[in-house]
Amino acid sequence: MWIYEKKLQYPVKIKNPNPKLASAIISQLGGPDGELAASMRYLHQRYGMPYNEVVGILTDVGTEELAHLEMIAAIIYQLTRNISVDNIKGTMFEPYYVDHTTGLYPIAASGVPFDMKYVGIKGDVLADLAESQAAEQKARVTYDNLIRLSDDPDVTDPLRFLREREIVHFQRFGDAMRVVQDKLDGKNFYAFNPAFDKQNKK
Amino acid sequence: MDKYTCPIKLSCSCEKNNDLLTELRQIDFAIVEVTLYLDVYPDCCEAKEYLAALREKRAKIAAEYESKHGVLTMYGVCGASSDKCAPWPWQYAAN
Repeated sequence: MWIYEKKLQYPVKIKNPNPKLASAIISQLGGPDGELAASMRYLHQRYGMPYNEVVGILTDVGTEELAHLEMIAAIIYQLTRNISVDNIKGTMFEPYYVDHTTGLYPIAASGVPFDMKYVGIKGDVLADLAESQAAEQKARVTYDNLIRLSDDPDVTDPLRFLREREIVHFQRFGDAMRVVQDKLDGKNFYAFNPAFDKQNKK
Repeated sequence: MDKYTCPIKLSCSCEKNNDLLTELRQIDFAIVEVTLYLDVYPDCCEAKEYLAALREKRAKIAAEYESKHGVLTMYGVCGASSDKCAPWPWQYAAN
């Protein structure tokens, strides 16, 4: 089970609304490499993992991604609070406003709603862990892009924190990958044999 | 906490402004970091000791925070009355 804790992992305190910037950052809510995709990926991949270390890291990182989802939501919420229609007209935010007003709807910056097609779950230890490592790098690149687009230090600060977390998660998944490879037998060391043929589920 | 002083805590301003929420966040951040580390290095004694010290400190800070600003979770120690209820986390005033 999960327990909600009534605080953000890292503070989000944005003085000035900026709907245009919100419509870029919303990609980390519902985009292909966003926090919703990240949490769904890890929290579902974990069932196929044969080693405690890997189930543990996927559970804990997947849970932290839910906290990041809330931070991104807080950024969007504060960037669009108390805005008038004049702040919206002619900006990238206008089409979103038509459909969702200033509600929080997980969607990519390009306008595509969140889709589980972004998430890879293959039921194979090495395939899934490699997917997770790639996902952290893709999310890190997205944060790099958003930091370049941001001209507000109040927004850049939490984005930098989130970018750093992608780097740490990539590192931990790399450690998990090594744990897995250390436990494979000689024939499987180069990771050519599917996990399905060596099932040991409890 | 004497032996393992959190490096994050030393570099922040939380002690100056006595911001309980900031302090709680920093301890929780350290707990998340060391937990992720222990997931893949479960035999690291130093990390286990560090985590135990953090948990002890966390319990005290969380109880103090909850007594002033209302419950953090559904298992919180005190009731969230209207005069003692922190704003929702995504609101400007909460941060």
